[in-house]
Amino acid sequence: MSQRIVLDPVTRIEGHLRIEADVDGGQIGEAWVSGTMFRGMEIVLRGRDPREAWLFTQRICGVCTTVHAIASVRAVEDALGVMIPPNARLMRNLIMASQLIQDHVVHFYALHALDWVDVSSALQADPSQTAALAQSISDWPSASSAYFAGVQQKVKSFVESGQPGFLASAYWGHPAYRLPPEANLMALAHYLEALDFQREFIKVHALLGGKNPHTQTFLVGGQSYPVDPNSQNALNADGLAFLRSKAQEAIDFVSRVYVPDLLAVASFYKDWAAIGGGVGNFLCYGDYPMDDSGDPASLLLPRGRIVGKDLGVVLPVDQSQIAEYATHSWYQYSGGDETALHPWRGETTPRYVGPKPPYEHLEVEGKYSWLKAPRYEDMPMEVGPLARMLVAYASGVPRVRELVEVVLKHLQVGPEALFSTLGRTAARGIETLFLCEQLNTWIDQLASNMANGDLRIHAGEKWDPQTWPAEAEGCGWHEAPRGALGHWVRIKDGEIANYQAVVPTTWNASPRDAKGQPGPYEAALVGTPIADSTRPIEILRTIHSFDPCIACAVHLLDGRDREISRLLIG
Amino acid sequence: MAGQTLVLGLGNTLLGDEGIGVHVVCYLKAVLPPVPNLVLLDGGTLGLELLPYIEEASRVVVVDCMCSGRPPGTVSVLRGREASEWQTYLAAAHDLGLPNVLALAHLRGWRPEELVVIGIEPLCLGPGLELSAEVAKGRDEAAIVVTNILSCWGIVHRERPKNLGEQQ
Repeated sequence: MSQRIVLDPVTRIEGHLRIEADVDGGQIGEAWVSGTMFRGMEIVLRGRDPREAWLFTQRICGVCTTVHAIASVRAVEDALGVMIPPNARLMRNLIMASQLIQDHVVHFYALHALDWVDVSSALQADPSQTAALAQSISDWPSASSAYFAGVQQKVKSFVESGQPGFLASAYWGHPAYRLPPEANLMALAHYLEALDFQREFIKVHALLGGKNPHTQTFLVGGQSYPVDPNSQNALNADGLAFLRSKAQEAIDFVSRVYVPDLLAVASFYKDWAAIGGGVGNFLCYGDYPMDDSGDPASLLLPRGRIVGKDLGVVLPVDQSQIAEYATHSWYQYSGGDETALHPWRGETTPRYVGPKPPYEHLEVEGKYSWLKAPRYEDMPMEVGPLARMLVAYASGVPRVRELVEVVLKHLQVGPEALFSTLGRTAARGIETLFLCEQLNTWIDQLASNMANGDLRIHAGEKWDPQTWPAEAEGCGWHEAPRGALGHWVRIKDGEIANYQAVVPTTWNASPRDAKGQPGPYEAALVGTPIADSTRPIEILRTIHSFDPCIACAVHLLDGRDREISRLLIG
Repeated sequence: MAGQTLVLGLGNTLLGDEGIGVHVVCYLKAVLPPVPNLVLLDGGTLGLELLPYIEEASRVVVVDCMCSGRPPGTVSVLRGREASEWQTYLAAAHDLGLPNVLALAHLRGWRPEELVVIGIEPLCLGPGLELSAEVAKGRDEAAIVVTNILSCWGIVHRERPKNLGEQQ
């Protein structure tokens, strides 16, 4: 007899990302994932000036703040046929990569680590043995026994203060935790250090973006932050030196803390290399143009698809093959909910037919999510770091192949282990290091352009709407930290006629489609072992390995019963 | 601790009254004279990015939308234990909303002299850039409440700006 368990992580009232799973014989049989919030950004944008859309779309999310701005300016540039100058491309690459690096570090330590690291056990660790462990895996300087004893004391005092906050709610002492106390203490110390790293590193955005978060320097046609060695109010030699120092901090922290921690933790959880595989299809739009040709071949992270876990073939990506179903989503399509609509023809007509809250279970046979179900050639696709690294690996990008092989060798597993919860988490770390190593290339090119007198940052020929065709459509792609992000825009008489954003978490957390095919989260949960159905930490491990975008968009303090709901967007 | 005072407005301004905290802060920015060591911050829907601002402040006023079943526009003030307990309500996910960021700051050794949470009851949380009329009144009232608190702390040196509560 199977048992239906519900994981509604943030609140039992309105929810945001909700999971229902049937557990039978200690493992998950079937799962349903529901995004329980309606976004409506598309409705806000209709009728607006396409040149300002990025300022609105950027506010879709407060975590990866730049990504919707980039996808938006690219969509409008695609519609109008605008090519941006080299300095704008380089600054965008630096902004995108620093967003990704910071976001991945935050994800590993602040969002994912507590699925693997038991804080309660860290309090039992021996600081000198912890120091020995830390020194054996890295030459990172903060590794003395006094240092770890200090961290342990800080955590003890925090727990004793009676305000444990987020630390109160985890599944401490769960049998699925397997790290020795010393590894737990080391990871916890790095958890705290990561907070300092991330806030220092993201100053790259303050420089290149005017402010962080929600940078202000994007423009349709380029960037608005000037590049000029002779100006104090522009990117000059001081600015370049600052960028180089931040790049070095990133390389140091990622190669000497993040990656060694990842390998150390992963080696205790190798069984997770066979759990959480998912749909086995991967989509990557590609990103980080290395020249100004506009040719997809110039992308540092190549574009491509992998289908059926076949690393022998990288298939092309054609945007016309993307379409979204609303069969199991709380929307109504004018041509019937069994059809799939390409984003240019996308419709956002909400039609909630779910149970009235509070409810026990969703009606999973019918509509059960605010997320639509995007499909490529009618197939569910996983997006994100694993998709990017698999496409780069299968495309033969030398440094990615090298890094992937180092990790596989360390864990003594084969490439098939990549299709798993552990593979997803490892791919994120590999990608972070790979991008850290690119930062200086782009900084050097900016310096060289400045030295050669190329100070262009914006292509203004198509700025005036008088120069636009009466109708135009475009799509803008970006590989955001969480995966393939696409914005589709239709412009008519100088205004936005239709706008659709297909975001990474919609691909990954999508509900079933017209054929009943589960989305990537739903498929990844099938077969997951559940030791204790009242404390399903195993579900969190797999779901967090996708890095769902949760801390977005809406938050609301409920004074009646002291619950706060934070509703999902991305 | 630099002895800064932080007024932190939270909310999503694309969802009507949900953005009330941000509206209050923007309003205060418009009517209050610049004061050294007073930071009026539009925190939007951010999480972890707020950590440095919080850690640099010894006094914090958080302004946010709050559902308590009272009439729309009602302003509630949580102080002392109520305000600090608020940190623990959002405990379930490994989410990095503000309560968790406050807890993280605490874990890292931050001990504020004052923490006050001001909640304004919403009416409409649907897509839209405007506040409802009821909640717009609540905005004015909340701005007065914040100004009074700042005045009690000796940060703002007058009762309230002349046009506060009158300006649209």
